Amino acid sequence: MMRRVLSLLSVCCGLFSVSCILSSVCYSQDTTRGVRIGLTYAPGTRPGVLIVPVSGHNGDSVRVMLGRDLDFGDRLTVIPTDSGDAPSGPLNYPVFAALGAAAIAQASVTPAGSLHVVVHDVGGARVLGVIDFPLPSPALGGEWRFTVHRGSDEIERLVTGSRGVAATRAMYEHAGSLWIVDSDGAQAHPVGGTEGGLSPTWHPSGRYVAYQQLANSGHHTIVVKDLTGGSVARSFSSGHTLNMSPAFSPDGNTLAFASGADGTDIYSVAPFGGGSPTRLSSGQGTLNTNPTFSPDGRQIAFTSGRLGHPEVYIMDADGTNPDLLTTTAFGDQLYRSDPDWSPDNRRVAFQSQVGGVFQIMAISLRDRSVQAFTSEGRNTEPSWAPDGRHLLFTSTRSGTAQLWVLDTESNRTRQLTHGGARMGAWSPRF
Amino acid sequence: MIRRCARLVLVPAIVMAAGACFATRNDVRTLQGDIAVLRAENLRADSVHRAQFQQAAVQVGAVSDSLRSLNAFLARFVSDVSRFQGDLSVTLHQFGQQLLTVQELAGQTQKRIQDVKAQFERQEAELATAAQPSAAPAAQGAAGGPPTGPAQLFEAADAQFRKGSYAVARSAFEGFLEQFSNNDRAAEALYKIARSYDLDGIAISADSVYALVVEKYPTKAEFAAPSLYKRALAAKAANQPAKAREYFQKIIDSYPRSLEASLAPDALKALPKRP
Repeated sequence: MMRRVLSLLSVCCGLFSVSCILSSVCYSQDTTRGVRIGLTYAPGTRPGVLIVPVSGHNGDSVRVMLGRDLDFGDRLTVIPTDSGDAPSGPLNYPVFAALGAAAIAQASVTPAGSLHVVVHDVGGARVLGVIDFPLPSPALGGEWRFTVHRGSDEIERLVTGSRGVAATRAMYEHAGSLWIVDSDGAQAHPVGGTEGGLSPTWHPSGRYVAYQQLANSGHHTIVVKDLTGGSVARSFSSGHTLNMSPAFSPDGNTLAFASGADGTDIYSVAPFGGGSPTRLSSGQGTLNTNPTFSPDGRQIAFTSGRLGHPEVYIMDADGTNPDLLTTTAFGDQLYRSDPDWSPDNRRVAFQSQVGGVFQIMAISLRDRSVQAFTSEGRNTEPSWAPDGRHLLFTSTRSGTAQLWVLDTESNRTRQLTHGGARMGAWSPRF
Repeated sequence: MIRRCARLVLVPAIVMAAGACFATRNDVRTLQGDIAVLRAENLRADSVHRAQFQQAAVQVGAVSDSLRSLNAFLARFVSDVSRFQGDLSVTLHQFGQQLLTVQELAGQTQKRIQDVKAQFERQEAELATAAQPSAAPAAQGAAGGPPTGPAQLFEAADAQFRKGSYAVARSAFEGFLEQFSNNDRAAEALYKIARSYDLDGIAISADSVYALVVEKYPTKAEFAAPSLYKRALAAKAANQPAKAREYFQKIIDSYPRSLEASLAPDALKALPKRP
């Protein structure tokens, strides 16, 4: 008994000392480099979570992925520790509390091949919840990694009450095709048969995508593609040569898109049934594009040039009651476009020209106040994450057009793609 | 004879040539002096170059130090700016949240609207009491009313509508109509009651109020035309194409310059053909 207590104490002391060394190393790196992008949150607003070493096959990979996902989630501070052996026996909560941990994620890969995570509440000295996900084969493959992302999202939900967005993907255009990448920037791969694809959008189920495709005839059509089988579910146009910027309604039963020849209007159509597209807007020769549905599906925000310059409008989903959303009382250029309605129904993100360069902004639907999020490089095509907190957008800040992720609460950004990308669309949760 | 002459010429020539190959001691000294001078000049040149190199190295070091210092300054500056941006962002966000809370608490709730309404009613009663001896001024006061009364009530209701608080907005618009049924904005208030039902997904109530808008305010095209259009779409969704056709056609005939009149022809075409 005495020996066990002593060994536990020595392990804890070792953990504490390694943590101190690590933190001091990190601090010294920060100070010598001199640059720290991001915010230092006040204690309590971003609880510390400590991921103890993961036992089982590929435990180190699981631990790295969980830590990275929780860091990218921007709701938790991941406390760095060494990569020793997984702790056995009951955890000593006061020691972890001294390390600044509000929660502990104790994960293991079981011999049966499942991801087993126990989340501890350090303050309450109790188990918050237990997560079990069967890990698919092959290990470290795409689906295996995605399952670990699901585990990260559940840890975030247990600790903060909000589910994370690690188990999501982004679709984008690269080199004339559509590509998919995981939310952590891994597993980027092209989607077969999408050559000439532009402006992708996800069906709420995550099973289908719709996009604009340039055919050999020079006509742009809207294509709805089944990602599970790779087949085209439906391809259509309104009869005009230009059909673009599709968007699914939240129930997935309606697809809105822009179509026209001299000027475009917003049309809607049942994406999987019959019936021809119905015109919703009456732009009378002006450009009306980029529809995006409100979360209840009863309204649509879109870009219209009916005032002589592009602005963002809102109309009822049947086309009535169009109303200017972006007033001209901000910014120095009369150009606002590419709206995306936030899933929490609080804001509409859009791109606005400032000094001739597009920047990402969002307008509150409650009081019409505008918040600017970017200032470096050209930033366009915002797309909300399912949590209504993170935004995906195209930026040239690194020299080439790439996808970036922005946390709208802290303004922290990270680069998602590195091989060139644009027209990003954030998927729903899978 | 010829051979003797040749010998006489060749022998002095050979002697002269051989003599030229031997330097005198003086020549050697001169040469040694030249070499010493050359060596000294080379050494001097080397030391000058070395000094120049050393000076250049010192300058490079100084520039390097300056650059390092500048880099550190820039790094600190960037760090400060990032921190400032972050702090500002948090402050603005907190401010925005507080503002929303203040707005919630300070006058845009249903209670506030009711308070305004009650206050208005009290003022109206006071005016009526004060003007009781003469009936004519009372009528004038009622007709004129307080200058901000109806507008204030309408704006309060409309603010709720814009915020998406449709139930509260509906209640406020109903209060407005109870008080000012003949006001210029009564049609708009009724239309917004219908829309509030519509946006809340209460389709049957919405349709009945849209019908009321068309019935009560047929000359107000900006509200009657969309109301008819909404009714037509509701009829179409309820599988009543004949009724939908009637409404769409009425929009085209009665409100040809409305937005809905430009949409109605397409909607008519999309209806199933008559049996």
